[in-house]
Amino acid sequence: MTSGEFFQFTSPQRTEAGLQALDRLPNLLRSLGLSKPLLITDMGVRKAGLTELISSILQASGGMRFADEFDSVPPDSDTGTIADLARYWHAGTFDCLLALGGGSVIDTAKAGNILISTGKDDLYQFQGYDNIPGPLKPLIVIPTTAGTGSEATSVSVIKDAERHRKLAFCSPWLVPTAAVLDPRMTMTLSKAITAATGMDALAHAVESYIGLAKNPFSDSFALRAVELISKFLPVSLKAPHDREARLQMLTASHLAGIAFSNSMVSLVHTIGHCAGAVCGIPHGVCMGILLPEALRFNLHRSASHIGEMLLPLAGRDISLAVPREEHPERFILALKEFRQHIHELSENTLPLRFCDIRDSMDSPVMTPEHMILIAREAAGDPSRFYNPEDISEAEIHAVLKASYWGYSLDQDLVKKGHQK
Amino acid sequence: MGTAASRIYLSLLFWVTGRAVQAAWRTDREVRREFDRLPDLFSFRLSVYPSGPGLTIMKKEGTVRYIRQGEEGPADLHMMIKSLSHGMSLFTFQESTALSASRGRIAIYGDLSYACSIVRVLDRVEIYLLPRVIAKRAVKRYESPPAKHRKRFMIYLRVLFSP
Amino acid sequence: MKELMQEKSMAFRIGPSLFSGWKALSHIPFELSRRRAQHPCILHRDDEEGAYLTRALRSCLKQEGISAVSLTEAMELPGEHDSIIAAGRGSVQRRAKQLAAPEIPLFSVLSDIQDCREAGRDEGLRHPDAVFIDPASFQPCITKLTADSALTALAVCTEALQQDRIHSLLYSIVRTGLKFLHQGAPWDGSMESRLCTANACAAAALVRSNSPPGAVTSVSEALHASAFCLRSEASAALLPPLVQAMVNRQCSSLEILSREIGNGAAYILDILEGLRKPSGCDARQSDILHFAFNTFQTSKKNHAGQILDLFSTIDEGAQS
Repeated sequence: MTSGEFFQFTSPQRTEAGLQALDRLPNLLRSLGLSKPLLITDMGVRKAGLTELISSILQASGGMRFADEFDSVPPDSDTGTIADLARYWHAGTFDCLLALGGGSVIDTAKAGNILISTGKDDLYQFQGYDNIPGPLKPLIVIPTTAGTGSEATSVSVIKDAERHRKLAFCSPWLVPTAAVLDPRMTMTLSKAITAATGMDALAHAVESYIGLAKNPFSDSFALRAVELISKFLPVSLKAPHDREARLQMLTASHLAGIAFSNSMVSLVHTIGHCAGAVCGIPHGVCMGILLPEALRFNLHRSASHIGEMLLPLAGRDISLAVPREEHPERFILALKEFRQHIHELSENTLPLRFCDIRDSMDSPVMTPEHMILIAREAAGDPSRFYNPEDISEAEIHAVLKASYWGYSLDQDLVKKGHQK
Repeated sequence: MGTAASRIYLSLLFWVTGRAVQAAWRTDREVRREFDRLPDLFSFRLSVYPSGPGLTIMKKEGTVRYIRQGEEGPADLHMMIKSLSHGMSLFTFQESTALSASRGRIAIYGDLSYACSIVRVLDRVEIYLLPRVIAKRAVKRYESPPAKHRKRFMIYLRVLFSP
Repeated sequence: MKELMQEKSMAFRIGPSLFSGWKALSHIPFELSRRRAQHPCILHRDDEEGAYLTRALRSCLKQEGISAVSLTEAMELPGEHDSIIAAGRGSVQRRAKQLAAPEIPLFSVLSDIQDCREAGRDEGLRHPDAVFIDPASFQPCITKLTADSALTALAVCTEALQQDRIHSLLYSIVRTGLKFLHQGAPWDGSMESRLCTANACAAAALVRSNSPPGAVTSVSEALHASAFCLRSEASAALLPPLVQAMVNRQCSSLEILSREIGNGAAYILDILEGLRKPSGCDARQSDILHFAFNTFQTSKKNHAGQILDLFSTIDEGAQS
């Protein structure tokens, strides 16, 4: 972007980060004038003992406690769960929501907060961009994965159980009031989840750096996130109990979240959302697989931006050794090398191609019919607005096919249209 | 341009665009395909905040119609341009719809996946309505449709004379 | 990798939404309605700059059908307002932050002349809900004042890098501020350059909200208050030894910057050199150092510690 172009940047939330950041949760609540939080979480988090840890921290500080707990958030939350949450809230006396979990829990809390704060019972009327009257009730978020960045974003996506569609909400009022980043929440994550969520954060950072809504602020956050991920995702996998590395990954995910909340995501997510919905492949895995070829599709539009990410990803030595005009291609190669490295460190739990993802009968989870369906569905994914280049169904299919077999997208397949 | 002149200009452009969408649905296969994705009795409105000029399109019983100003009801999908001057940027083709949306200049009330279809329709219509050199600024990717000139002629005829 | 390790705990908040660039002011009506406000009160400086900003603002609001009362900062607020738009730099923004109740939307309209506090939380006061920077509201160019604002922003951003373990959130804002300043060169009074300065000042205000001002900023403000020299003159005199001292002690935050752009210290000093001439502060460095040293060496004021720190770093710089 040139220096005179218009941009807008929003990041209203308060962030508490540190090795013992949760110890400051009671003070945070007090400073916001809150004392009756409704905890929203899922059974996985509960089983990992994280709710107890937070409960004991609150207890230790002047006998604070959760006013109640809503722990039945499923992995892929839907409108039914949101309605249950709103009913739960109205049946009790609470003054804020405290979301403890990954993307599904946080999105549930955000969407639930719409119904809770407006007193309505129909989420449909709030779909869209800037369609939520605010402000909403205070929402404090404690992420338990380092990937979604949802604790910093203005977006929530919820499955519509009746109509089998995704409902998307985007409004600055959805950005949580505060986020607490404490590595104790991510120490027990498996290598597979650490790797996949790390790739999700990387996709957020990379896509926010090439999207149409990028701006100088989101750029700085994105580049910093890429650098932190390239340094600390491998460390988190090699030494899962390295608290500093876990904190840095939480920070990277948060930075990427702030970046993409402002500049939005594009093609990787356009296809990834649909691949996840159609085939049930975990979101982070889709991101890792799709990133290189989706970037290659955008090369003619965003070569310079793609090239600028080589330094934070691959480091100074490689960046200096390669002529500047080769940086974009070299970045895509570096991305593949990084992904391969993460694949090995995660003990091969991070698939590199869709064809490697198999079900219990050893059949590929994604079939050719699925690919056609994904390409069709992707036409309606709102993230495509923000991709620097328009994309047709046939092109989505081509990107998907290249990512399925792990070959490089044929650049001639891309219709370039007019150049800006 | 003054406020009154901007409103008149935008009203005219909305009228032409609205009728052109109706005409393009009759003329262009891609536009028809986009509307096929939308449910019946679907209505769409594009207007300027707070009560500026706008256009409303409705799909009813398999046909797509431009609804005259003053006769429109609540829309299923409402794209609201946040100010008159943003409307002018959009309709003097200084900014494409995608760029305007990415700069936060359009609020969208309703299902975003339907908004994707509508933006594609508007882009396609602009390619028919505008000379290539201007249309290139107005859409994200300029692709000449087959038999563009014949279809363009048909669309203009329908804009002017169709009921 | 040591330089990437961050402090053990931190609290960070950006706060306001930032709208910057052409037609930024046109976002105000919708942003008001988003906060259910319709009757803004414009608070402006009682000078030419305030009048200029207010004219641009009123004409933009009028186009969108909003009428607003406008007052100078010294006047009492009328009863019938539901939001405040503060137009201009410095005191008017502080006054608005003091006057606006927490539930009342507060917007700031800023130009390229700022003291790098307006967009953030200022001495414990609230931050604005939204900040609007639109070149259409910039007064005809006053290069010296623009350069003065840019130098202040440079001092704030550079001082934040003094921290050995800067947090990535803060670093990202510092980096954005420096990038704007770098893009602003050559300070020729062009609109792009002025817009860069305005953005850099807003970024610097966000840095100040999250990191206490360092010695250069404190001393510059004190010298400015004592009418010995402009803030920018003091910053221009004090920054080079500070940067040299940061290089000498291998400041890790500066190393992070260097990894990105080659030589972080040279990058900062380049910006500074570019600003010397337009700000008119290229000849007084030794005078200012001398005056500052004599005035503050035995200062018992609240920033005495910082000042002594600064002079010890200046000493290090000079010895090297």
